Amino acid sequence: MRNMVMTIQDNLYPNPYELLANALECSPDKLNLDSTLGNPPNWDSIGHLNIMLALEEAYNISIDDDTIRRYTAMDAIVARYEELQKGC
Amino acid sequence: MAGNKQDFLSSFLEQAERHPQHPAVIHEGYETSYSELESLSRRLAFNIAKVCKHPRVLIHLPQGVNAYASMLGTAMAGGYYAPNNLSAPREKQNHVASLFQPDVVVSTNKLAAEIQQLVPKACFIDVQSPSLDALETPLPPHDLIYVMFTSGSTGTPKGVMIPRTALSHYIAWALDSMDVRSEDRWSQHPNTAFDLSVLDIYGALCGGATLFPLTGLKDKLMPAEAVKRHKLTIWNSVPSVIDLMIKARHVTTEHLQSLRLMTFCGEPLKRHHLEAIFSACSDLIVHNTYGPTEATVSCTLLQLNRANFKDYCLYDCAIGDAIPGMTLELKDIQDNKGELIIAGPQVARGYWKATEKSAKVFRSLQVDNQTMPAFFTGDYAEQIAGELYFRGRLDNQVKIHGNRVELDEINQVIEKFGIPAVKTVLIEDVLHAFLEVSENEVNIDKLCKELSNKLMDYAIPKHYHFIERFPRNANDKIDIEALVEKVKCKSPVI
Repeated sequence: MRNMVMTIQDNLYPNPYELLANALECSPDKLNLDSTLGNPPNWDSIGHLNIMLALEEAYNISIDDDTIRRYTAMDAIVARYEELQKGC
Repeated sequence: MAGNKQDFLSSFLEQAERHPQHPAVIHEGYETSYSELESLSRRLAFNIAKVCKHPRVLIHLPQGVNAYASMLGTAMAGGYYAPNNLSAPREKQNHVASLFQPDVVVSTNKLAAEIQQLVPKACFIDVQSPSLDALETPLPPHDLIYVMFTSGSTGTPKGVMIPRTALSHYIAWALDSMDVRSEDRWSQHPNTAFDLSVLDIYGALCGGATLFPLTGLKDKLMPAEAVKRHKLTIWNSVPSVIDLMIKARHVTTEHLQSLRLMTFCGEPLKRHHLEAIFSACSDLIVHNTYGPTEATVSCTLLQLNRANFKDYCLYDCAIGDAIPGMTLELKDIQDNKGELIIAGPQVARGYWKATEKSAKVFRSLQVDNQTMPAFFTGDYAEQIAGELYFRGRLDNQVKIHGNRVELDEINQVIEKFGIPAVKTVLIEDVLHAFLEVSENEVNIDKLCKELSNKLMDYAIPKHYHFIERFPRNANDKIDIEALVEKVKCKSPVI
């Protein structure tokens, strides 16, 4: 298991672990940088739809085939969050 | 009866002759006319027919015009096919190829490399460079038209052998009951290896309508956007797709107003699906249908509208009456409940290379002094006020998003991880795994990873419960009801 939830501080944008935990209706400690579509198990098609809707609202991501594919992994979502924090 | 129905291929050829320039398929902005689809099918048929008499064809292609032309081409060549599911794990795709042992593989060079090694004797046809010659006259048909390998939870598939007359019977019914017209714009949502796709492909193409394969990730995740963008008039899917639309807040008049008909099969249609649909579109007609792959997609119909749907939602929605030519009976009725038996011309010939397994469930039934082929479904139904309601399975099989899942297979996979006893239960459409072990003895992350390698996505339990000792009933069997009660009283671990 790589970096855990608490290493990222809340800032202008919601913490990605909390954002995803809310979308997947699970505890943030069930998520880590290795989490992907299918693991944890409630990250299924409905879970992924919830995540994409949350990312659209919180991180200003438009939903298309590319973003649906790209954000199937926690590390990509954390990377997007870090970009936003830097003002990219 | 089956013999009285027009062969489905003749229906397609009539449509191609009647309006050759009409779009048959529109995919990712590219239009294929009926004339172009017919021409590609005839060219592929020429290639396929050269291989042998009644060729056995593996169609190893994604949803789209090439796959549809390969199906029609196989029928023209007097053969029968199995569609492979390219979104299934590679292991399952290879397993289907090995089981089917095709004479011909229709695919592309890129897609078929691994499959070709598994079936080295099969002739390979690259769909991207078919023959310039075309088969002018369709060859005499084989008894079968396709073998559909059903999903299974571990990916070990069971091949259902569908006769060509069964498909023609089904499509003739669909064209009539759905009143298919050339101006119809029809979704093609399910994978071609899922039998629900058969209704889309042949219903649209034999009815002169335009088919819209939905293959983009966004179309799969937000299907109502595709309805709106393509101005679809007919939607066909498993009912759980409506849950995706509801989550996305897309069950709205704005998204669905072009639709005139929605048809569902593969799992129970729920009251909340119908409430959402009819609140958005009051004039829409909904067809709820029931039928296993073994009865050629579906064999019942219940026509629903905004005014009548509540009368049929005692549990989930009722499954309707048998379609003309088919018979539905309940066996061993107790308290109005029994096993559903389906008889008639749409019943499959049996399971591929599984004579013993077939003999248990493919039998015969006397209907009006006639002996009809019958399939003993293992589905349990209840009759109330003249309506049949699906109530579950007699065995340990459940359906998730239209896919068959054997709960015992899931238990076995988890037990191999060193768990002494496992019981997987479907509770309110969600899989829960009960593990007879203490929580600190299991690395749940590792277990989940292992399951994702062994099981299809939909067969992986969503929740895990650790129990030191399973509750047992008087016969010392695991008390499932007590386990379900635990879930309802307490939050799960994951």
